[in-house]
Amino acid sequence: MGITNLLGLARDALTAQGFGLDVTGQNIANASTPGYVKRTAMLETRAVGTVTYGGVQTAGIARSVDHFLDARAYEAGSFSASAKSRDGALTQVEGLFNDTAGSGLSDSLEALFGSFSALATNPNDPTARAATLTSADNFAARVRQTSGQLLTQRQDLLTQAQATASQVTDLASRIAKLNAKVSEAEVAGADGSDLKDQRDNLVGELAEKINIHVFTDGGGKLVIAAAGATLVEGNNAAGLTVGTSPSGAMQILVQRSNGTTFDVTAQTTAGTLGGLREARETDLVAVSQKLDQFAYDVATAVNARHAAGVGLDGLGSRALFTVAGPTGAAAGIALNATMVGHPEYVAAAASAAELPSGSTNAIALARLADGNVATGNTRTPIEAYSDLVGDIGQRKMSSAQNVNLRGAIYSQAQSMRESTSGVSMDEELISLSRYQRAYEAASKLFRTADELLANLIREI
Amino acid sequence: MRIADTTRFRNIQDQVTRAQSAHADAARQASSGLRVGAPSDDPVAAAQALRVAHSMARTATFRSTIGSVRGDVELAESTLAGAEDVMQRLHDIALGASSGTLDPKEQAAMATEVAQLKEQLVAFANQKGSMGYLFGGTKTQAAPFSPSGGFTGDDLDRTAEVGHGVVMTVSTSGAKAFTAAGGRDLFSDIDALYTAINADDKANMLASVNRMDEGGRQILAARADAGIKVARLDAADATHEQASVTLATQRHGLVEIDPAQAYSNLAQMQQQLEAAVAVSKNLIDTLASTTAALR
Repeated sequence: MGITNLLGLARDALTAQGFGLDVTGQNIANASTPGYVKRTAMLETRAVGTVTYGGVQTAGIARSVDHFLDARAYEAGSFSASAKSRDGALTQVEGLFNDTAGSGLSDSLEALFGSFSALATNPNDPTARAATLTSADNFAARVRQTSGQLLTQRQDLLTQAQATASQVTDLASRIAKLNAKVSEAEVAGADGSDLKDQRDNLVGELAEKINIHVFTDGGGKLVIAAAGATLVEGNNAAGLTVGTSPSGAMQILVQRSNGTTFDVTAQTTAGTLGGLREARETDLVAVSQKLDQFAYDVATAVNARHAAGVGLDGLGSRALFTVAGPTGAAAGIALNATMVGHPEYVAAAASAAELPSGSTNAIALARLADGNVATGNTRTPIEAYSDLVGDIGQRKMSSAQNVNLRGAIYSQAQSMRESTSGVSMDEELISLSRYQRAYEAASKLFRTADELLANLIREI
Repeated sequence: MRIADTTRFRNIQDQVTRAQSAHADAARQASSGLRVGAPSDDPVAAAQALRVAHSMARTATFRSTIGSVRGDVELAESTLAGAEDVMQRLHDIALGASSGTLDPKEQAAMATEVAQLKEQLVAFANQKGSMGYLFGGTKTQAAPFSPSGGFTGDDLDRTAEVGHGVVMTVSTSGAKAFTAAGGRDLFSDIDALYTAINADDKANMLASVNRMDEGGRQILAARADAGIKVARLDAADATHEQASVTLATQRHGLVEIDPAQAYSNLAQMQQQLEAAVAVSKNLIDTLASTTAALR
């Protein structure tokens, strides 16, 4: 004990407060770095044997993390991303069926039945006959076009999912590499905070792609299960691929480096991939089926009625549309090739006797517009179509609500996490002053001890 | 709760984004006049609107059908009125011829007039409308009556759908008005009168008086039928006109927005957006002042 100890205390204090300033500086510098976790300089008294010296020493850096809050943020991020990707896909689908904005099928459907009515008032008019064929051709073309766009979108969603899967593979391998580096750093006695920040940030990104579970193994390495299958374990990462099953459905596979694969399609319930899968395999499939059924029902009803009448040549039994199905009806519907270029074959008359100006069959065709010919003979064509549009509207509305809801939950989970891990500038500025004052005081202490020593030496 | 800087900024961003999106929606409603701009805005109303639009389209179709057939029915009615006058004149001739002795000159003049009146009646019976010959049944493409009065048309009805499930006959039967299908074959009767006048056959002239009278009534019946059809078409059209107004109102209520409401919504959203931006500015200033205080 004595003046020399005082110098030692001052030295310790300068080092410790300097360390505090350094850590505060790191926090301030990284205040807006994604994934950065607030650090705290840990100071403790220096114990030397049983003697009390009263010195201070640094005990490293504490990262303010709460794994429970992290997990909640990952999960909320997964759900928010899946809601967004599904909503994006449904926005496109809705765009195809927005009759108020001029897209959709109602115009061409009304035009088809309108042309039957016009034909009924003037069945012997070549213009009215030609107009009927044009309307039928337009209707078929619009249905085919819509079906084609749905198909393109289905393909787009697969491509998107594949891109997302390769991002997942990339993230997994980067996380595995960081696992290795963190472990090396810890073995070397460094705390590896920067590496852990990077790693956690990548895990957060990964959670937005696919639903994950994160554990820490005994050695501080992360083990990540994606959709139930291990994706990252220690220094090893598996890959994720997206393909299609024989039926054309999206298939998501985890591929281990030893060649084994796990089908995690059904377990992929969240993240961008989960949302894309739901949009493609649930929403688009349902919409396509309904469109097929609608096209099939309308075309079949019109065909049956048309075949019952006769053209100007006195012959009947001609279909107006070519249609197969119901599966694939929308993609294949077309104006019957026999009818193309033959307006005189349009069967306005019910029998050869009432030719050329009998319109009994044309009226019957027009009246199909109000007949229960669709959806198992329970809905009129426009009702069946409005059901389809209503269904799409419901899906889009609920997906949009989900985006808001899950976005809010994610935001809240992030806030919770940041309340532990985030940097508060107010706090850091206060710490900065605190360490600055302490550093100044330690300098003063050093000068005092120095002066005392100098005086003593002068006396000697 | 401890609030990190990133939390504050994200909250600010969330609030401004929310206010912006609400404002954009209100602006869309105000500028388009549509409350339901896409099915997801109100799926039930969007589906309902499609059905209402369909009813509107059907109503418009019925009205256009009525518009295009009404002219021909009316023309048939006025043509038959002309034919009735011809029959009246023939009746008078038959009566005049049968009631006294005729000198050969008068006789010849009468016969000529009868022949001319027959031609006139054939012309009436071959009247063309906007969609072909009016009195040929479904055979509208060729004149249904030959110059001698032979009938080549048919007695089939031409029909039109003039309302939901309302299919009515819009043709006027030439067969029933002019041929034996309606009771008497007017042209043979006129031929008989012509022959009787030429032969000075009083008995047949007398018989012709009744026949011409009967023929006139036969045409009158057909004309009355056409008149009733015109009235029916007019009544149906009036109903549809009323319905189209009702349907338009219904559609308006489903998908459109009252302009006054739309503008007041927009003004409200504008205020909210301005408030959100003002609050954001305030928060950012607060953060800045902390930093400044320690400078």
